[in-house]
Amino acid sequence: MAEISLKNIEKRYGEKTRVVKDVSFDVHDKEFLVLVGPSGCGKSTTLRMIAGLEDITSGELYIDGKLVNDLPPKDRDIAMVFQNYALYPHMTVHDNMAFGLKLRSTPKSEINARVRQAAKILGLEDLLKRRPKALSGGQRQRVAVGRAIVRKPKVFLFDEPLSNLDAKLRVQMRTEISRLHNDLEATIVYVTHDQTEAMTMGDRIVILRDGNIEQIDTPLNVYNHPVNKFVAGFIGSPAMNFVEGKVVNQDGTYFVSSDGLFKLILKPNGFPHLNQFLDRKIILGVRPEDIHIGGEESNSGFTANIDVLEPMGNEIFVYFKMNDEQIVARLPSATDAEVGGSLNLIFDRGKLHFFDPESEEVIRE
Amino acid sequence: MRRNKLLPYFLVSPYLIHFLVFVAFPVGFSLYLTFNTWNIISPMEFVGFGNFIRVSQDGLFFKAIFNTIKFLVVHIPLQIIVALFLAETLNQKIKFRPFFRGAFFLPVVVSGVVVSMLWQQLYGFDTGILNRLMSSVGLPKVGWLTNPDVAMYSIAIMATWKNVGLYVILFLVGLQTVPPQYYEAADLEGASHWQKFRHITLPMINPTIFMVLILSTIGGFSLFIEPYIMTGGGPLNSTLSAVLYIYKQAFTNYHMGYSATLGFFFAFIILMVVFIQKRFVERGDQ
Repeated sequence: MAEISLKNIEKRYGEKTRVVKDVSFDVHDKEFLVLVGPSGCGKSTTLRMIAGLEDITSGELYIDGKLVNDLPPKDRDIAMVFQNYALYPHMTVHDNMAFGLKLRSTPKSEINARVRQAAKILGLEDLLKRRPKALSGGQRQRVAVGRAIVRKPKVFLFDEPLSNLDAKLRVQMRTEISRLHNDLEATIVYVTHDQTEAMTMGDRIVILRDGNIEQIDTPLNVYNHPVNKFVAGFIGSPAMNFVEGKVVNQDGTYFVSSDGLFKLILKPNGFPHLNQFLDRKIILGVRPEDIHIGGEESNSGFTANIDVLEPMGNEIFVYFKMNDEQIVARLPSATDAEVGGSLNLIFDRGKLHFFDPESEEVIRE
Repeated sequence: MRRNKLLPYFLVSPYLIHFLVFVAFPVGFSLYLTFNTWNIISPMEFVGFGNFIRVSQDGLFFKAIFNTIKFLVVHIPLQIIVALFLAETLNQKIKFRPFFRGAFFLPVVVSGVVVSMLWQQLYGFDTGILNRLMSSVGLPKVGWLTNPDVAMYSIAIMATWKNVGLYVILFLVGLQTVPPQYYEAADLEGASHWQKFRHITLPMINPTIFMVLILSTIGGFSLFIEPYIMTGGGPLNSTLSAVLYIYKQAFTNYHMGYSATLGFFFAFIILMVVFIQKRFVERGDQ
């Protein structure tokens, strides 16, 4: 049983530098919550405040209903996995994992039992006598996780734990940490800048930018219903395409791109919420997988002149320009396309997003 | 063509000349001296192994070595502990940190003669500040430099004060190479300040400790200025260090050949000690 609650948390350095601004969210018991955002967004600082490694400038932090603002890290009953693992080079794997328990004067027999159990879960049994230097990146990562789980803490904190691993290992460790979360039924707060990690691992995602929370929701809701242009562009790979344009009324309501070359019929079927933007600027967002082959001019189809092709094997990324901005479409690999050629494409009208260019907020239906 | 052949030799000649005049020649010449007696004025006289036999029978030389060891036994641990303590303190976020870092380094760059003379005043039996302070709180006066049982330790304390700044800097460098995450991880595990120092700092700066140990051993063995200025080796030869004895044999008694022999003998002892230290520390490292 472990719940974390952040209420109006702020972190300031001096008077002017506000790294985390008025952040509030709850982490439920046994939840896997991911803090994600570009570098410098305050996600690591937030995590470190939860750990007690940074002072909280203002606001309240509760763990299990207890105010812990001024509680030292050791009394918060949390464990943290660091980006560079922070394994002690002069200790063996066993001693690294046992260190915290030793400090708490746990009986030796229990230390050994817990270390062995953790080693078994993580597949480290044969490596217990080795020093960190003699381990691979993935093994070190596992030891760092092992050091956290032997203590059986209320909360696990992960600070970009996979960013030092190569791509293949990262995918493998991603699933391992998810599996661990299920096995241990632990409350986890996980910081990453990688939206794929956020999407695949989190029960819920907190998206941060410049010390502010942009959106908190489940991965799929964040993906399908981003609240603003930033979230829409940040979550998803390749990123969402944005087309600036205007809503105009010429024998029906249309969205027309700024260069006037692309026209999308909005009425009669749908989009009544865009009426307020008639003759005003608006931003259209469409995900690469929501661009399909086919369609005719009458039906808002358009011709794309292909700039670049990126065959991925199972699919192909097709790059073309609209308003002089790069747009990418994610098409089946069998698509007959070549650089310099053209394709007839159409946006999936059911999956369009519209943003107010001033506030960059999504325009709700 | 010819010029090109000579040019490289010309370019390295400053080093070569320096090496030949100030290193190779003195070493070669003193090696030659060990088999001779020479008082600078009269011609040299070949004595074979006479000087070496004399060393083995020279009680005063072994007393000088014993005095030096007495000095080292106090000086080295004191130096390492004080330097480590100061470095650890100066590595924290304290006020006026740059000032203190500079202040502790100051004695290192001040001339040893000046420092020795200052401390001579501090240690003075009747007029020295130390004894006056002790008298004022009712303690008996101490013969800091006049009591044969105390004098060498007084010098060791002074030498520590003079040199500790250098080792503080070395330890600071060592401390700053320890990644802060190690301490943060330990904070989360519940380590106290002492536990962090014992289980993280000490093992992590082991190479620095070894370097400081070697440097202060070699520096300590070459103890000379302090006893030369402060006590002249007295009282009762109790502060006669090995190097001071070698100096006296050469330039007070003009026993050049014997002095050179003592020098080689002493260099051999230092080599052995450092060798043993190295083996010992390397074994501890594995």
